[in-house]
Formats: sequence, C-alpha cells, structure tokens
Amino acid sequence: MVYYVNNSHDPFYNQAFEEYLFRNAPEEDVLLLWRSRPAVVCGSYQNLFAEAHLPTARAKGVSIVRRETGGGAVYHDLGNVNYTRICRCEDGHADYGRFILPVVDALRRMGVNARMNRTCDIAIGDEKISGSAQKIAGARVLHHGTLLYDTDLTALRSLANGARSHYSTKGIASVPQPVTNISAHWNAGLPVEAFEQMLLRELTGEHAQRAELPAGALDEIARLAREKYASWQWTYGKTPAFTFENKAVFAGSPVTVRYEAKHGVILQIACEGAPPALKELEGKLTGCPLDPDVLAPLCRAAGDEGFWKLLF
Amino acid sequence: MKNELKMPKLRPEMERGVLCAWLKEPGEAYHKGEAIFEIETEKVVNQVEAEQDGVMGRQLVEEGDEVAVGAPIAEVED
Repeated sequence: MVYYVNNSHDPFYNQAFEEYLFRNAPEEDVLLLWRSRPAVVCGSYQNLFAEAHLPTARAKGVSIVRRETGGGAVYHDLGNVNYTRICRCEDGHADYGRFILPVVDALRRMGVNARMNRTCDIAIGDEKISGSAQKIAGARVLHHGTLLYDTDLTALRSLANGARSHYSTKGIASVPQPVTNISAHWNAGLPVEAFEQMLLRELTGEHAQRAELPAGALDEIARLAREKYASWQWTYGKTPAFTFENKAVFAGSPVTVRYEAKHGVILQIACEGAPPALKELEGKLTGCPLDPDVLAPLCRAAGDEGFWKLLF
Repeated sequence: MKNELKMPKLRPEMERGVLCAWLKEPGEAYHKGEAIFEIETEKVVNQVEAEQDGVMGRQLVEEGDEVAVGAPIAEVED
C-alpha cells in the first residue's frame, strides 16, 4: 500500500483529488487521509435540495458537494478525518469489511474502543463514528469513510432544517444515526492533526511508502474541481425529477408555492395567495435553474427580494 | 422475444438495487465491456458493463427506481 498526501481543505478540490487518484494512480493499493472545511457532502444519487436547505447553507458559508459514491448526506468539518482506499476489484463487488476492519484494528491499537457496526459503519458502543461508501468502475473500487474525531455533531440537522418535507422525490434518502466523536471516548487529548498522523502511521505500518503526484496533476485536479465538483451542473443539474410544495408567509400574506423540477430546473410553478407582482414572477421563474445567483436578481428586479428563499 | 437487461446480483446477499443512471439512450449501440448503466446498492455505486455487444432498447425502469435482483430493466434491440 502507498499513501498520497493532500493538505487542501477545499471540499471541491478534495473530491477532485480522489477522482484523479481513482482514474490515474498506477499503484494497486492506495491510501489517502484528508479533511475539509465545513461542507454537506451528499451521495451520488441524492436530491441535494431535499438534503440541505440551500439558503441556510449559503448564509452559514457551508459548501454543498455531490460526491461520486453512493449513500446519504454527511457533514464534514476540520474535526472529521476522511480516509480513502483505492484498490483492484476483479469481480464487480468489494465487501466493506475488507476496508473497514483495518481501520477498526488501527483505532483499537491506538486505544479507541471501536467496532465495525452494520454493513458500512464503525461505532463506539452504539454510536456511529464512521460511515462509508464505495464506487466500483473499470475493475477498481474506491472506498471512503468519515471518522468523527472532533466534529460539530448538530450541524447537519440544522442545515437540513426540515427541508425534506417540502420535496416529493426519487433519489436516495439519507438515514440519520446517533453519532459521537472519537475524542469524547479517548484519553489522549490530542488535536485532530495529531490523531490523523497517528492513524496514518498505524494504517501504513513500518514500511510506509509515500507516493507523489506527477507534474501537471495538481493543475488537472484544480481544473476537475472547478469544472465538475464546484459546478452547478454537477451539483444540482444531476437531480432527479421532483415536486415541491412550501406553505409560507411572504410580505405579510400566506403563500403556497408549488413547482415541478427536473435536472434542477423549474418546469412549471404556481404561487397561490400571491399579490399581483408575485404572479408576474411566476412566468419569469419558469425554466429557471434552482440557483440563487439566477433567482435572487430576478426576484429583486421584480421587487420581491427574498422570495427566492421560499423556493427551497 | 426480445433480449433483456436485468438488475444484476452483485453480492450474494443483494436482493434489490436502484437504477441510478442510464449511460446509454434507447437506440444507442454499445460494445461488450462498455459501461451501460449505474446501480446503487448498500451505498455502493457500481458501473455495470455490457456482457456482449448490443443496442439499447426500451428502458423499463426510470432513473431512481428500485427493483429486485433479476427484474428486467431494459430491452435489447436485435
């Protein structure tokens, strides 16, 4: 096994770094540890609008990211350590134990009372400290997982903000579980950076081999981050069809907003109980992407500043 | 009777899967070994490759639908 080093905290760059290694790393067995600044990271086939309340995430400076692997939404911040393994996968399936058990063993050697739980999790007692997911393509598997060391455990709930109830949608649903931080159950009292270094040493062993990226790789990764992971098209354009309903109050009156969307674009919209100026806006919003950078100026121009938030 | 593509069984205990993405549209030709659709099961996204050359036919399942292992998901054009 070789390990790569990525010290970026940019969540979009970090997804691109993983994808670059998945497609290009020549080694057969790769490890990467990494951390991101606050982000809600959703599974490949989720409806991201239903998973995190976009206006709230924007206001708090939290990024919303779509990853390539399956599963549900997780919250990353700098107190969470992600681990990625990339290996050969001959027969189209890779069992989770192959990747999770070495991490459990490493944690136990470090004095953390961890155990593998259910199919894809690591827990201390009954509380989850790690979830994981995979992507399999072209005889390779990418497995990655979170490790909650010293993370804000309530952030995801406040960012979801009851959004899901507005949406009627296909797309993989998240499954919330009780979670806990490793640092709360470990006497070492170390900062997350030290935990990450200890874990790296335990996972790679005495003959740890560091691999380096070739020249030009960093540019390629930055380009992938910009053009794919940070793009509206990948993040929101990949959303399955859904219908939305929100009963709210706008400018002192009760309003019901209903729309149908596909690929993140409003196909048709109706606003009941709306003052005349708002009814005019209906026509302008039809065919618009669910992108605040497009919606907010439209609403402001129609004199309905702030209305865009009712669309999420 | 037309040939069909079915939801594959990717692990012994797999019973159902979600068809997440069609990588070929009806009418599009593909070769053996080319990825033709993606499925998600137990949080694993799998790109499934064609077992032989063919042309994608009518798709019986929409992106986002969950079906049982072995259920037909698309017809293959002759």
